Amino acid sequence: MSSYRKLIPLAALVTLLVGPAARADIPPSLVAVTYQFSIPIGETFKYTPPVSWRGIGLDVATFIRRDLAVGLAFGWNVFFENTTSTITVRNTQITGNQDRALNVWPTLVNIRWFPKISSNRDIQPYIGANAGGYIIERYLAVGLTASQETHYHLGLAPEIGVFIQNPVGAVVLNARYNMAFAAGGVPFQQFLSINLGYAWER
Amino acid sequence: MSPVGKTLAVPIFGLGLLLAACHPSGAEFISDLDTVATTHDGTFDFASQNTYSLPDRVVFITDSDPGGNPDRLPPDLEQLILGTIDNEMSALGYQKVDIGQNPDLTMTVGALKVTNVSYYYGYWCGYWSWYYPCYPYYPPVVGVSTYTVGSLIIDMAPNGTAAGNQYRGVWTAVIRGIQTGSNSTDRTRLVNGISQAFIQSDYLGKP
Repeated sequence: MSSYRKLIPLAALVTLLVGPAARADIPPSLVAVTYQFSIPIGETFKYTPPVSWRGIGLDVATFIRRDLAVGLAFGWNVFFENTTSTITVRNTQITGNQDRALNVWPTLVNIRWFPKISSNRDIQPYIGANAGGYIIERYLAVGLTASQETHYHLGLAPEIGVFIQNPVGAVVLNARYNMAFAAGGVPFQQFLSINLGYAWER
Repeated sequence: MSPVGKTLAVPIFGLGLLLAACHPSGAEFISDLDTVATTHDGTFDFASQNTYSLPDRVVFITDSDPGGNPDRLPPDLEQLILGTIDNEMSALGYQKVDIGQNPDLTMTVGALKVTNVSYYYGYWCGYWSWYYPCYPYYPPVVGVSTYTVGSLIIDMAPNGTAAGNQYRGVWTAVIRGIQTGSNSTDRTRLVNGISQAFIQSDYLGKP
């Protein structure tokens, strides 16, 4: 009997999430592929100042209500800088031509809310929140010497975007503020990615 | 997924992979690989020192004659290196004296050369390997590449801190680069490297 009691709150939660819409009304899942360019901020800007034009993202999402979707977001963003400057590593000043690169692979879960702004939903804005991790590979080459370290950073990423629907899918445009917390001696990383792509219903 | 989606998804994803290379660039010129590194004892007061000594030769660190007299660099190259160091130290306000006059700072200079040799080989696997795996009965293509890395090491130690025949160094500079085969180019890079070692050591010098 006690196990039934434990199940009651869980059932209530599921009912709350899916209850407002009948199963037949729930929109399908979607898959989106996006091209991403990213603006580095904070420590990411200090290490690699240029805007990153190399980026790609893959999103999958399922609607749990007509106005609410949960999903996964994967990506690959590459930041790069070539500079000649002096850096300090363990009390040693090193001057030389440097190749600096950050390869960032976000692996996030997210929830998105789609407010109803029109009846046909041709243009559907949304706000969302991502949480999860960022695999960040930090590469530094100075002269003939190179070092590379990879760490997993916990992170958050608020997001705002819009779906512009057409008969076969939707153009998706969004902005995601990526925040990866410090890990393994690599400081807090931040960048704003502007993502443009296409989404298909599944 | 719609037919249009299936058609576009792969090209878009492929384009993204092309755009997202791991390390998008690298060195273009040999001078891009030049490196100057300096380190120092943060507790040492460089400003209160007045005099320094410099040897009249640059030791070439090799194992050609273990236990014997060390090799030297060509005299003109030695003079170029020592003259550049002299200029930099004088500009910082230090006065050069003979080693017998008990200088506050003793400097030594050494050079190191390492030749790297790499081999590579490959079988005839070209266009036709689309149909046939390779041609193992053709002799493989063999190549050899070599490059020489030169390093100049400058050390500075205060007098009176010797233990046995060892000094406690308070400043070290390493200037490293690949030989180009052009003497004039390499000498210019060497002078620039020595100057850079002093530029990036802003704690040196008298106020």
